[in-house]
This record gives sequence, structure tokens and C-alpha cells, in this order.
Amino acid sequence: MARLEEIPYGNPFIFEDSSFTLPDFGERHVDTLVSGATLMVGGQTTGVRVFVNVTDPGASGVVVADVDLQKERTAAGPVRENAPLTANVTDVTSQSVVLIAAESPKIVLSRGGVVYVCHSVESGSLEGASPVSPFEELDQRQGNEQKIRNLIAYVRSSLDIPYREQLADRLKFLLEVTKEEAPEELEQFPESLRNFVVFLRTAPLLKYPDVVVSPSGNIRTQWQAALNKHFAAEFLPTDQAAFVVFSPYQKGTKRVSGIVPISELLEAVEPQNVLSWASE
Amino acid sequence: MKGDFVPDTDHVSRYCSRSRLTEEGKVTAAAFQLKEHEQSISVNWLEFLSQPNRQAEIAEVRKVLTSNRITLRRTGRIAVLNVGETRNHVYSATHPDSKDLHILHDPLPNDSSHSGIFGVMMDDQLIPELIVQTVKEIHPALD
Repeated sequence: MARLEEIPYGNPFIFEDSSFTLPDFGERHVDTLVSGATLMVGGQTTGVRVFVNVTDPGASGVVVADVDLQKERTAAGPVRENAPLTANVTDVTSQSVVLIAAESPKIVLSRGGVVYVCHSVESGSLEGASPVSPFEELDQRQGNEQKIRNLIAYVRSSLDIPYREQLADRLKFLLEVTKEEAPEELEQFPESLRNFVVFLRTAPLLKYPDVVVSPSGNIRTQWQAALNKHFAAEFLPTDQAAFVVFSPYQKGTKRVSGIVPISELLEAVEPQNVLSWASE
Repeated sequence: MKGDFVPDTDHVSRYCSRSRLTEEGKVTAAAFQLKEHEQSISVNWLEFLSQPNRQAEIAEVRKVLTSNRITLRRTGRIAVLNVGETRNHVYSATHPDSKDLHILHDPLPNDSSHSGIFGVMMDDQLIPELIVQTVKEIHPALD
């Protein structure tokens, strides 16, 4: 299954300006980490318990960090190379709890950064949080825009696909259009975009798709070679994709649709031979 | 009158914003997906406008949309569907379930030709794809 943390909202060079909020972190498990992103267990959060680990494959030994979640950002010291790090935090009451995480500790360490991996968020609740004011909503939108920009920067600089520049330009265009014409659609955009990027990492041989934004604010992509060679997928903010495939069948067209976890999308459409015409 | 069926021989148009179009300006199924809380896909009944030809109908639709505070963009598009072709295509392509779309007149205070495509569900992927296959004409959103 695609994991929340596989794709960063930021990169090691801009991570201090990026953040995301776990929408339902009471149930989410973040087993590895976010490359250079800032993880915000935010709002008026209470009773959150966060485990922080560094996942260096060659790590050994245990070091417990002094993570101060009462501050806006963690103040833990630098991670020791080849040493996993664990911190248990309880009774979080601050407005903004931030952990800095990175997928590739060595890279970040080489730049003198502080690296943590959010291993799991065990429990938490947003119950009792105040209603969002218009100003907070504006802040949220600006936050969403920054997340999208960070993801686009990641696509442009790091995604291992041949059309990354073209895709980044397209995503930037869609961001600008959505901001201008339907800013409310930006709400789901970052999660959906991240899931799309997660998918592309599993399918680097797919051709450059048509990319649009659905009325729900999700990234929707399509690959079409003919009317009966058509594959479209809408990347939901829930680590799932809703898809439809039209494929040749006897003298007609077979139409298949469904919703699957992102990690199973290719598997779901492969019986229709999608890759035979949608990939390079 | 509200609730009347738009005849199968008639046409409806749909404004498609730039974010629902491909880079080449082709209309995608996203243009025929529902927004949250929407019951139907908003369209305009072209023959109801009693204009002499298609260009005049589209010009009238542009006026109506603009008067309803929809900001039309030069790169947006207005897609035209034939009601009967769209309904028949969706019906036959969804066999054996055979989904029957209803395209009904649904006038609004400032938009007497407003109609709706009923029968598309939120998050539906298949029906919007079938609808977009029946787009007959695409016009610029601005002249």
C-alpha cells in the first residue's frame, strides 16, 4: 500500500517552509518517513503520542532524542550517523507540533540538518477544536498552495520520469488556474497530487498523461490511444484511485471501473493490457 | 417548464473550465463530473433559446453564463451534446445495467434555458467518460 510518507511535501533545501497536517492521524501509521518535509501534528491537538525514528538501513543502537513538542519546531540535536533515534511524546497541547523528517538521513546530514522519521502516530484527537475562521481558512489555503508548490518542485527535481519538466509545468499551470477559478478545489489537491506522484514512482514507464483537476479538486489523469484504449484515474486524497479502463474486447469495448489503493492501481488495470499502449 | 424532458433531438451545452481540458484543449470527463452537493450536471438547452443557428445559441449561452457571474476564459470551452445520442450511448454502453440518464429542464431565475443531466453519481468515473465521448462540437468560451 502506498504510504503517506513516501513522497515529500518539501525537499531538504526548503523543508523548513513546508508542512502538512495529518487529516486523520488517529488511524494513520507513518512507517518510514518524509524526505525533508515538515510534519505538523497540528491544530488544537491533545493527547498525541508520536514515535520518532531515524530509518537508516545500516543503523544500529538506540539514541533517545530530546524532542520538545511544545515548540513550533523540534529542538532535538543532530542525529548520530548510523544510530536510530526514538522519542516518545505524550500530552501534546501546543498549537503547532512539528517534526522534521527526511527519507534520506545521510543526504540531509551532509547538509547539517536535523533528521527524524515519524514512525507512527498512535493516537490523537481534534475533538473540541475551534471552528476555522475565514483567516485561518485563508492560511490553510496558502498552506495548501505551498504544499503543492513543494510537490511540483519535487516532481521537477527528483521524480525519475522522462517528462518531469513537462509534468511540473503542467501542474504549475493547473495550480494557477485552480487558484484563480475555483480556490475551494485546492483543499484536496495536495493529498491527491502526492498520491499521483506516489503512483508515478511505481510506474515510471507510463507515457506522459493528460492531467486535469476534477471538480472535487483531485488530480485526474488519462492515457488514450484510441476510444477503446483509454485509461483514466482520479487520485483521491485517501491513498486510493478511482479508475476506468476502456479496452478492445471481441468486436466491441470492455469497460472496467473501480476504486483501489494506489499501490494496486497498475495491478488492477493490467488485465486490460493498458501498459501495452500507455507505456513507452 | 421545470422538470420537462429535453427532447432527444435537441442539444445542450456545457461550459468547461481550463482545468478540465487537456493541454490541447480537448474536453475530458472531468468536465462532466459532479461537484459535491450537486444533483445534476448543469447545462444549457440550446433550442430553448430560440436562436437562428448554433453560433447565435452559443453567443446567447455566453451572455447567460456571464450574467450569472461565471467568468468565462478565453481558453475555456463550451461543449455541445445531442441529448438523444448521449442518452443512447450511455444506456447501451452500460449494458446490462443500462444506465438511463435524464436530461431535464431546470430553469433558474437568470437562466431560463438551464437544464441538468441527472443520473450521474458523485465520484462516478464511467458515466462522465461515456458522456464526453458524445461531445459533438466544441466552441471557445469567448468569441
